[in-house]
Amino acid sequence: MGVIELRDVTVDFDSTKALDRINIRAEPGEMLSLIGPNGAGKTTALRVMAGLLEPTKGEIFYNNERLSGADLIKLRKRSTLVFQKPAVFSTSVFKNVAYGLRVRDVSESEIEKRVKDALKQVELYTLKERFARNLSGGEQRRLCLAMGIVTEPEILYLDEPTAYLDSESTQIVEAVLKELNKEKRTTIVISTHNIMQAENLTRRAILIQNGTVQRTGLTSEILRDQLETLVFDDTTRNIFSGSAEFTNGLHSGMRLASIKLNDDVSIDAITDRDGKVTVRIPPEDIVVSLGSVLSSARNTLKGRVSDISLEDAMALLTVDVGVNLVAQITRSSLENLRVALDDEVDVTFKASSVRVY
Amino acid sequence: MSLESEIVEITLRALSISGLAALVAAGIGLPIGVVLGMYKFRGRDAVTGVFRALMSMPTVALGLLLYLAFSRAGPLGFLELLYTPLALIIGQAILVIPIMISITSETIVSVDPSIRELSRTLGADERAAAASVLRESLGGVVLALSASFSRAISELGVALMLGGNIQGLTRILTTSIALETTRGEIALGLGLTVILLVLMVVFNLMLNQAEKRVRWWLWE
Repeated sequence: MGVIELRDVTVDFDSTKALDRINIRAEPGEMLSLIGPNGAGKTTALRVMAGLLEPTKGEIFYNNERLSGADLIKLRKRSTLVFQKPAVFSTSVFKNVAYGLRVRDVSESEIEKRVKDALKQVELYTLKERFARNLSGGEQRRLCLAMGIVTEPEILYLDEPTAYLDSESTQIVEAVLKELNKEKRTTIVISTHNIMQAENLTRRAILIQNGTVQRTGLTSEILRDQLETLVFDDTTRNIFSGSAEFTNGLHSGMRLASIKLNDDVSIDAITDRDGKVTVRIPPEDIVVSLGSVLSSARNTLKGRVSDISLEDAMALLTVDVGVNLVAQITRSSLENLRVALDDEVDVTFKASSVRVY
Repeated sequence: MSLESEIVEITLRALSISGLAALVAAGIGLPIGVVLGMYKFRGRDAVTGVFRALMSMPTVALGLLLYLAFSRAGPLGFLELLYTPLALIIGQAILVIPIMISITSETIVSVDPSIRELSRTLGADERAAAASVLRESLGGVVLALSASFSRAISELGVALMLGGNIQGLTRILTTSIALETTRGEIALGLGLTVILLVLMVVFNLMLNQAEKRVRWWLWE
């Protein structure tokens, strides 16, 4: 567990201010996200925190000790930054992971054991003898994560840890981070423009825009208040504004509300909020069927397929149910359904799947 | 001396003179290339540009300049190096040093900057991070060695001007090819050319194999 704090940090690149008097503090053992659009300054903030970049002005504190200049090596010995663009050495997978241990003069038997554990965690152990640069993009990202965690850093920084990753690699990376934080109490700071990832992984978030901290607080509160302004890319789907009304119903002991998205479309959701709300329906929670199916889910809507797009092993179906709902299904499911553009389908999802902010 | 043994002697002489020239060039050019590639300083672009221009130095022009320097009346005449194998080694080394420097520095500059950052964030100090960059540059260093040796063994101007093509002393493959061709011994000239080409191919294949072993060893 480590505590890192930036106080009034400014970073100038030539005439551009990348960071402008920002204050960030990551508490011991917490998972913190830096959210913001591309170019906001998240990566620069991470580089400063990881001791790779000395700020133009301001102070860096590590475990409440002020560090600068030559001291930054101390920071680098105790924390690691996993870059967004995977960088690997031109040698085997094993030797890449061993690098951080070799510069710390760890014994060969210990290296053997720790590298094996790290590679097993990211599910790359079977590829340990492979030339690292011959791995796929997703595997290289996982390798970089293994290189980062093998040294057992007190703080782990990750720059857009799952950007451009397939869903399998994303799940592996997120699981490793959660386990690391839970089991070893490693402080983890991630930068992401994927606000759903921030919500999924971190309790607290810092919103950075134009090199300044706009807001610090609970991730759920930031999302609740500013969700629509926080959608930085098109990977965040099914976000709607609506009006919530209590329905006098309880669902598993929770309060059930009807949320009107427009004059024609209302959905059920579990929330204690009334009035104006923003909702998100995760595409992976939506079931698509030809004709209605009997299920316990409270929301079933009829619509026509208006778009089908393929992404790796997955397919995204956009269904016009009065609003455009995107459903994520596997390619094999798409082939089994034999659904085509303009076909009428039913979409089904649970009230508990609807996130209300 | 039989023709066969003379050809063997000429081949071995060419190999040793050009091999030594390439080694001397590596000893001088590699450190300069590393400094130019690793460190930013005022005037670096100008220095790099000069070495690049010198890569295409005409061998006769260099031969002439060195001939004037080494001749009895020249500033280095007292060394009495003219028409000796040592003069050939010096001349060929000077010819290929710019190749060694330019390819080495360019290779280092083009190593992905994230390699240095990666080493640093994994706990390496600046020296160890620089060593990582050098390890990543190995392919370019091998290429520089290969190009230097190939240029040295295949050049004619310096060998003729400084060596004089003296039988049993400074006669090497390229000067022999030129001599036999002017004598009308085309078949012999062609035979020597084949030997020269085979030498270059074999040397480069061996260098490639060596690179793989060295790369593996460097990461141990």
